[in-house]
Amino acid sequence: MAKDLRNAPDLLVVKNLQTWFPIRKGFFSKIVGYVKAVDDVSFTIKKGETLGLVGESGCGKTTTGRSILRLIEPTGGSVIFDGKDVTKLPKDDLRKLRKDMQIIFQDPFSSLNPRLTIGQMLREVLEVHEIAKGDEAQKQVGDLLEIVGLRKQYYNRYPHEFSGGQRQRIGIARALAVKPKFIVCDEPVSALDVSIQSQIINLLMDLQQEFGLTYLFISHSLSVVEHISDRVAVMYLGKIAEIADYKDLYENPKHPYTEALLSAAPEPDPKKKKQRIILTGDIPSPAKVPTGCYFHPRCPKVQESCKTTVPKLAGIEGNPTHEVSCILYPTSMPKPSAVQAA
Amino acid sequence: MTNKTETIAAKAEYDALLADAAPHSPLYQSWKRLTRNRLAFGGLILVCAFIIVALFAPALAPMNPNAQIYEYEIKPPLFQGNVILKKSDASEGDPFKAIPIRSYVQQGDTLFITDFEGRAEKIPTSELFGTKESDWRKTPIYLMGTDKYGRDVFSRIIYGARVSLAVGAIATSISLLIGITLGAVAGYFRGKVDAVVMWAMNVVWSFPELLLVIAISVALGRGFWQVFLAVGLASWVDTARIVRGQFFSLREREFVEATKALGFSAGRTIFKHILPNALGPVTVVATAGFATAIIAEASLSFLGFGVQPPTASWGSMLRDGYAYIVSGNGWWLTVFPGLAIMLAVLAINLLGDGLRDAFDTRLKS
Repeated sequence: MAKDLRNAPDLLVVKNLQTWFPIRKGFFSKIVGYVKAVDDVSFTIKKGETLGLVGESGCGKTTTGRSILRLIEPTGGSVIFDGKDVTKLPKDDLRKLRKDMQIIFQDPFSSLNPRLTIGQMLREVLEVHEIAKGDEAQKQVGDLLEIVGLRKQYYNRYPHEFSGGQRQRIGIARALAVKPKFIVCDEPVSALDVSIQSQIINLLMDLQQEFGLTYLFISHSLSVVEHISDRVAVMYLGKIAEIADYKDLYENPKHPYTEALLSAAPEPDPKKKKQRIILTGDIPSPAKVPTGCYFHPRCPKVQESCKTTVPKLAGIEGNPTHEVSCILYPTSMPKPSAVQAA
Repeated sequence: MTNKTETIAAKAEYDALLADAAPHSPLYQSWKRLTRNRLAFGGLILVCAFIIVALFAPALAPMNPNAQIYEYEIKPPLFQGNVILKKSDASEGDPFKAIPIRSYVQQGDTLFITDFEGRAEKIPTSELFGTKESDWRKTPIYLMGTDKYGRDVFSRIIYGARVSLAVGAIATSISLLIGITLGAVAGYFRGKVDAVVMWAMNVVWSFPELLLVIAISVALGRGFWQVFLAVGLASWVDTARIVRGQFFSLREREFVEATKALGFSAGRTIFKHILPNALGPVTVVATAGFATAIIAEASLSFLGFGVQPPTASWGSMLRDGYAYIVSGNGWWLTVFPGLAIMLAVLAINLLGDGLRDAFDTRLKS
């Protein structure tokens, strides 16, 4: 990435974000526990930056993105966007804020209303937000389509007439229609063919440059994220395991989980032998999380104290922007008073 | 110069594109699938035929459905009458009175007739209906025979289509209006709203439908409209359940989430984005409800709670005729209205099945 973001202001500050879903049981729907989909997640995204968010299925990365936009109501923490706390906004103000924060969805076959032509759909967005009306709206829709690399001739076509990649472009056009500052890209390429994936990623990068967009790019694939991200966060069971500059993270991963993920990525050079770290066991249910470090039952470098000590996310020595949550690094050791007995 | 031609070209380009939308629309495709399905298309044509019959009943019925000729009680199909029409001063009904005869002779100003019982009678020609012989002398053919009041069964069947289709249309409209509204609200807002609506649905659901219809129609008082209202009020639960279920699943689709992310109002999301996608199954339930409403009306009329005599309805015709099945004389009194009900319900159900297939995108060709 050639972007120089050192002096860019913070656009989004997520602090201790928490989204717990209650588990109800029995006749009176008594709450017997919580699924901690997002548990104490904090990060910052600078203006113009792309933060990649990776993790296995069910680790809470999608819920994180949805909670930031309040498509799912977070249960705790704060999301400061452009100086305003999104989690405390009343409904009317939230509606106005929707113009600034948008989302691109994962499944291009479910993200477009099958009964509206793409022209009707995009036009509705412009008209609801009073960006343009009548002929002007129609012209702007044509422009939007061209911006995302579609012909404006597609105005009157229905979603089912497009391929997956084209549909994803339409989804991007819908997000762009309100001229947002920040877009959550929720696995925008995981439903697409590999050849189409790179087209969409390149489009997203071009758009970022052209409109000064800021992205939270969610994906389960480290190789996809590597290409587009300035910084990368790795999530495990609702918590951030490691967050760092993309270069630091890929070349010098610190967390055993990140190491394992990176070693699992396919290697284009068949002659190159590499050590694969095979994780055993499944990702535990977020309704019944392990004690201590959530990762300890699967960790190849597990130590006795991992079972009781909850690590905290902190910058490593010598590089405060490279944050890790693992007690192998002294900075992650919690203060003595915070050590939990299991 | 180039600038101008470019603008014109761009404008023409837009206009050409805007023109070709219709053939691609999902509705058009559903229509095409429906017309390709022979059974469903047959059903559609039959339904249209029923609608035409109901609309143009006065023109299509050969006789007044309520005109009684007592002498002609319980005559079999294809019975040919022989009547003289006398002027009538009754303020209601036909402007003539039919007098069945065996034979007649005209002598000057007087008509000598032998009536149906064989008695001779005289009628001055001034009392006859119309001026020419073709005006006052008729030999009507009773295609489907007559009932115990000497009324034409065929004409009554034609007029009965009005009641049946009106009951179907109005009751279905009422049940759709209530069902879609409550189902949509419950499915979209969920939680407490859903619990309240579900409770109401379960209460209505727990009554046997016909009993509920009877209860409502008794409460509302007897009459034409009360029947429609009663059937509609008793049958919205099916629609509400389907709509609620559709909303539950559509709510989770990403295009609905997108409307939330775009800050659209709940009303816009419900009516413009979710409801149009839920209408396929709703159409199917509505056609089934239409058929059920026809049967409900027939049952009500059969039990005597329906439309009141002398209004012709298929159900009341069945009730009037069923005693004759036992005596063995008068099969036409029950067979023809029964056939009419069966045919109407069959046609609507065929159409409904076709609609279900037509709206099912999984079968998309």
